[in-house]
Amino acid sequence: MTDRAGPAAAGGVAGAPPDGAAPPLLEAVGLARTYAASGGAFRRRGRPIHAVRDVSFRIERGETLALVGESGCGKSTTARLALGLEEPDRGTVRFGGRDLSSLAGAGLRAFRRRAQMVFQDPVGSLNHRLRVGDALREPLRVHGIVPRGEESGRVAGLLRRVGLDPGDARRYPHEFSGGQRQRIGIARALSVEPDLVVADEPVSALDVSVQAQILNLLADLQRDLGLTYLFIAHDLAVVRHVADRVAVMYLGRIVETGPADELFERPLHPYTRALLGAVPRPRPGPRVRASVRGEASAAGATAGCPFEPRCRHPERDAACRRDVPDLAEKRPGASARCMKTPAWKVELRDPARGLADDEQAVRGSATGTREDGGPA
Amino acid sequence: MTAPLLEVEDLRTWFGGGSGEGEGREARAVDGVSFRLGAGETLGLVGESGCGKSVTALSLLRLVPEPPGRILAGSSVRLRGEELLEAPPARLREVRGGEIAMVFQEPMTSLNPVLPVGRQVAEGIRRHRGLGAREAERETVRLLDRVGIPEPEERRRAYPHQLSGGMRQRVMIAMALACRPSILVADEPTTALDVTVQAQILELLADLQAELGMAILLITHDLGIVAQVADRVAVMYAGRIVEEAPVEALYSRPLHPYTEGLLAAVPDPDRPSERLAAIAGRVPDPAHWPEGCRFRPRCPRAWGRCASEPGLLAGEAGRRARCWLVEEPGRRSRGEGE
Repeated sequence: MTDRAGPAAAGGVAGAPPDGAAPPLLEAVGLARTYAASGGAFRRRGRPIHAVRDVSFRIERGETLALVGESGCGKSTTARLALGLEEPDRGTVRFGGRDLSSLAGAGLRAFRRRAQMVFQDPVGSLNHRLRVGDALREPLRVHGIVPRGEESGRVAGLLRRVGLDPGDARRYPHEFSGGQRQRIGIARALSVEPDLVVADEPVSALDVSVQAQILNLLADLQRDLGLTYLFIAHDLAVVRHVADRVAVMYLGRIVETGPADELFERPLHPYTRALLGAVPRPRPGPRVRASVRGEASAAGATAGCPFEPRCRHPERDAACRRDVPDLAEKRPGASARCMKTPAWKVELRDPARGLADDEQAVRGSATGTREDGGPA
Repeated sequence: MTAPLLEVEDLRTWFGGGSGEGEGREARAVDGVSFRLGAGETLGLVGESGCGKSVTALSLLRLVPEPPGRILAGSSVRLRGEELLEAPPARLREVRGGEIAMVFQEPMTSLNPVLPVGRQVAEGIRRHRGLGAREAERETVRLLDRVGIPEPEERRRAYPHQLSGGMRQRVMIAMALACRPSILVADEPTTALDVTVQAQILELLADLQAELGMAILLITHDLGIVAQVADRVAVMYAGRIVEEAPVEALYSRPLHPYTEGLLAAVPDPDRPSERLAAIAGRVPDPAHWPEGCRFRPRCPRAWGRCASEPGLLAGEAGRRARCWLVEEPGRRSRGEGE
């Protein structure tokens, strides 16, 4: 898949089928990144670590794609590859249809402005000896966003935009609470008028009441500024609230992708089901039971489906231990990397009926980790 | 009526003051906390960072470093009626890891990095149960197996860094159980773990509780975990318990506006909504708690009476809330502020 992914390849790509017109804002095709294991105390010594293997996705303008998964699944590495902060060993990243590896000079500078990042710990990305106003002025100057005379006004506007006081420009990062610092991190990302914001666990260090404030702010900014988000998170409840589409990663691969509501209500892959089943619901009910045994481990997994050792699919068999399944389309726009998840045959003339049957089929094969009661 | 297993009364643990930074005002991290824990029950102590929940847990066994911390006179922690805050050091050591065991968020800081994990489990068994080396070894393998560590004969020789976070937490639980405690204090025991491993550990704790009949004081910020695990819940804000209720009642009808706000702010994976209900403002600084009701500056329902702080007022069916709305429930339906 080195060509521009056409409709035929859409099933293997985490994204909506292309409209045919404008290219997606961000597109990753077949990304792979391997790290040489340092000769440390870990058992993996000497063996390369496949952080990301064969990851493809696309994000259309104005939408939010969430990359979710547990630690070590490769979601943060994927984000770094998407931003060109690291080069992939294999694969291509295209921004607005242009291959990142072909960019240089002004083109590269434009990309660096148009694609910004928000981190989990915004303080780590702020110079703590710079006043907030200076920290915001710096990118304005580097990218020549406004004439010098207008900088202060722009900084004040940015602070107001993220819910801070223009007077905060004179303060230092350490004078702010965690939630306020994240607002500063967001203001800095916004300062250069980006199209794409990659947010890597932007609320996972925050208390729940503050987390809600920041999630609401991100939603407002997207609506008002037409931003496109690549949202990296481990918290599935948060993802449900922000994502239009979701890609679930496991040991370096996307194992399922699809529209958020569908993925949460009718998960296809056994791992997605396990992941959703393990989330403690914020209301009393049946006690949490483990939805899957063991832990993700790249060690020893040489062949077959990487989830097979922990999989509870009733039909798992020798084929699962032998072959790595492809990310195949199972429903329109939804794909899973599982050879035991049946592809749904859609009656094109009667999509409503197709969905109802689909629901039944998935219920039937679900392992009972979710409550019933989908939306009407 | 017999004394409850654990009874905490008017616990105050303050930090700093006098010398050093700022105006030298003391941080009143825990500021008048009272609760009871019955045999075999699970009490969830829940709140956001800085509310004092972890300091409360540490204070029970006098594990707060003194100085800078100090537990104020008048505070009381009674285990089966025995005052622990005045117990001699030898007795406290006996209780710690004996009758009351603790599990923390990050096992790496509680485990000795240069000793095999099996040795660390065995050490506790020998110290508290007086078993010989051979017997302690057998018991260690049995415990490691019980907490779900595969190949315990082999794994007991592993060093902490050779185990995953989930496996380390299982070792910590094995150490905690080694002395058959009547109370397990678990401070954010799954916060550092992935969600599928978290579910395994929560299941393990529930199974062990059923098997051993121990009480659990679960300290967490996660309202999802509390909902799944606790029998009763105490919500902390600004150094105090602001609401206490059986778990069903708390989630279905919170009495305190802070509890109400917290529950509304939690994203629910089954019920997406366009906007989450955030609580305005932020948690106040423990050296400068607000006057009157400490939640008043952020409270959408506050009125004049909130200038003075209520005690924990008793509502129906074993519920308590530190809010005048308990006495004036009519004001709630007026829906002011929202």
